[in-house]
Amino acid sequence: MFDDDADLQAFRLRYREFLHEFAPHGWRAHATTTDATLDIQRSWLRTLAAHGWAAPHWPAEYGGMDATLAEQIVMQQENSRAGAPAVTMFGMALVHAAATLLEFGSEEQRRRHLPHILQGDEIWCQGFSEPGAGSDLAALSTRAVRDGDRYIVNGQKIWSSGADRADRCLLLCRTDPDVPKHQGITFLLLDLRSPGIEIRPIVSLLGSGEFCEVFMTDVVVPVTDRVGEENEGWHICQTTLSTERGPYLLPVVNKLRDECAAMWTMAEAIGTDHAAQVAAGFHAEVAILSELIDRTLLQAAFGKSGNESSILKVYYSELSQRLTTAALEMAGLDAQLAWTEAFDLNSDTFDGSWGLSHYWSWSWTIAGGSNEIQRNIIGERVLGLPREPRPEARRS
Amino acid sequence: MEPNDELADELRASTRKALDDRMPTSVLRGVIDTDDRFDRGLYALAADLGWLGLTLPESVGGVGGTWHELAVVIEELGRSMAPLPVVSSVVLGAGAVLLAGDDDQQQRLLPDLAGGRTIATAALTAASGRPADGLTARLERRDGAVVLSGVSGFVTDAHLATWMVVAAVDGADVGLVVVDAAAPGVRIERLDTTDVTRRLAHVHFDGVVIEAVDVLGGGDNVEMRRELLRRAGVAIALDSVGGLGRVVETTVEYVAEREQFGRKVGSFQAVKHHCANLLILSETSRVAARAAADGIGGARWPEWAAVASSYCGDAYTEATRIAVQCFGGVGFTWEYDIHFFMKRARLSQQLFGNPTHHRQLLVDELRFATPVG
Repeated sequence: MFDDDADLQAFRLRYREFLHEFAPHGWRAHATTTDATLDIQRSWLRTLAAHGWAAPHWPAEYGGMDATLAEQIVMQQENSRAGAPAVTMFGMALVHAAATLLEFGSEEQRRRHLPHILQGDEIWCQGFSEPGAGSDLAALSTRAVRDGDRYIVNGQKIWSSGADRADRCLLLCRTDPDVPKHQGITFLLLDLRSPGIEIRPIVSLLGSGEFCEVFMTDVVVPVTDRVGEENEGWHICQTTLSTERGPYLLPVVNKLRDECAAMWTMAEAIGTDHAAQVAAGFHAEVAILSELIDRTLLQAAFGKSGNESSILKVYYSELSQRLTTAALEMAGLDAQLAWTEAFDLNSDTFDGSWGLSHYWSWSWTIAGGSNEIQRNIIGERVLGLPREPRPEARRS
Repeated sequence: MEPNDELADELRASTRKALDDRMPTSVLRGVIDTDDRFDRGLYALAADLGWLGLTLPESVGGVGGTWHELAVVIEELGRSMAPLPVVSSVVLGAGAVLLAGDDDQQQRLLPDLAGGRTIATAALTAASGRPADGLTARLERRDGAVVLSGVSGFVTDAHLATWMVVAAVDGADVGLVVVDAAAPGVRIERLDTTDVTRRLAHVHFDGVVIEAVDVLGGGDNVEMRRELLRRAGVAIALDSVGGLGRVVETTVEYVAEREQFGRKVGSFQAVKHHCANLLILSETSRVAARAAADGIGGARWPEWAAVASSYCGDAYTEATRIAVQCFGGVGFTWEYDIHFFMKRARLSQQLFGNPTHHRQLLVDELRFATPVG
């Protein structure tokens, strides 16, 4: 799809050369615990930063490269090709926090955080969802009450990935309970070392703790850690969330391709036409997904992006679920054995456990706006269908 | 490919306008009630607008365009369901002669085809219409002459064709010959299909004498036949993409108007999610078929042809299942148009190989591409 022109080809070769010289080898064997993985990723991020490759999508004045989308895609492709570690644990910092600060943060906030993010000294997490505010995010009830030049925050957040290792949190709070729910929300930068914070990992259905609950009791947040104006938080968090529409899907497609190849090997071992045809069918759909992402990214590069990314999310996540369901059927009882190895859920390669891939796929159909919400978005914002009547336009 | 594809956009706009003017479903309903299911005047317009010569070289009266533009025309034809033998003439008939014919054969047959003065098709399958089945037409040598006997099944637009390219068993090989539809011994048995927007026929050959100038190929005829079927499959996929686009539009339009319980039914999530699924099927099919059409002749062409042919056939079938459900009771009537798409989708799913067949072709490609070990 993206045929490199001469400039892009030169860019590709420059990055490939850098990877050839500096990308670590054999790191997967050492990534046996979350802490070890974190160390590997941090060390790699620092190497990237030392050579200017850490944040290609940032403006140059903050240490980025002003890289085009095509260049970012090229870097993703080369990362996969070289088997370089992905810096997934710093994703919320490099992508979400940075995008929010670059668009809505003050200059002081950018200078305070962006250099540390670039060096891997700040891990960020997201504090958006609450037990009572999942799909209906704007119904959130964590309160921030203004007290002079600070806010006093009380409430509970949930599904914060990696909060137990994070330094800071992108926090949405209610500052005005007396206006329609979207209009009383404020965006804060929470220092997770502040007194009054308790973080508890949630044991997910995988038996491990990717997600956390964050409890806040009379936590003090200085007003200087507010992003944008008071009660403007809903608008700002849309930017944070929309950054998920970028090239983020490229590594997961790589993983799907890897899974397809593994399924193909299984099908050939089974030896029936039917098994091979099933594998080929998934190969076809992964090729289509990859093409769809390229074309959507290309549209985004030309400023035509929008809610069409919901189509990608639904198609990707359900394809992943269908593929792993079929793989489990082919793999038989062997794939019913519990996985024992440590794993990186955000890896761009298949780690050999169909069970892990299968059960993890629900995180994609539920998180980031469940597929039911995505289908509402497609129906209403893309196809223009009438909205559901909203009896609760005001918060009760 | 550029995202701002002005030339293709213009072609799409003019093609859609011509078909909207000349073949709205109100007119289509009249045409399908006739035995020929054909609008000769519209076909002449198709020639004038250059649809027939789009991919033919200038030397035979074409404009030397690519499948990128032809894809636009085929999509629009699928959108309108206009019963015009464009795919039969251009992709099958002309395609076969360009692929397997020499200069003389091309000069003799193609200028009239590009000008809309003749219509062509190709009979590439056995009586069953399944590409994998052994051919049931055969060539024999009798007293120095080449003679064609047997039958080709489910041939598109044979009843309109001036000539057709026939694939027939020729000893241990496959022969490709041009047959005049009016030649002695050719009998065209018209078929009534549940899809009333098309006309198929079994073509019977009873000792049809083939002149030496009408024998095509001589190279790898088996591969040429395979290539023609590949293109036919992609053409059907593009036709499905056009149909899918219209199915999404008309279904969304209907559920945005229809009221029950004092609300537009499209505001109910159960219906809205059906529509979202329609769009997903439509967008994924579009990407598949266009990637195939743009990649014709390239390194991954056989793979993409199989991807598009297998995926779009299933997607169109599933989308029309959902669409009729969204229309509810009126979707079950002859009066509403949605059932025409539903049946066209199901015939398309079988024509030139069903999705399982195309997945098997993809298996063959993947085996070929995967190094052993």
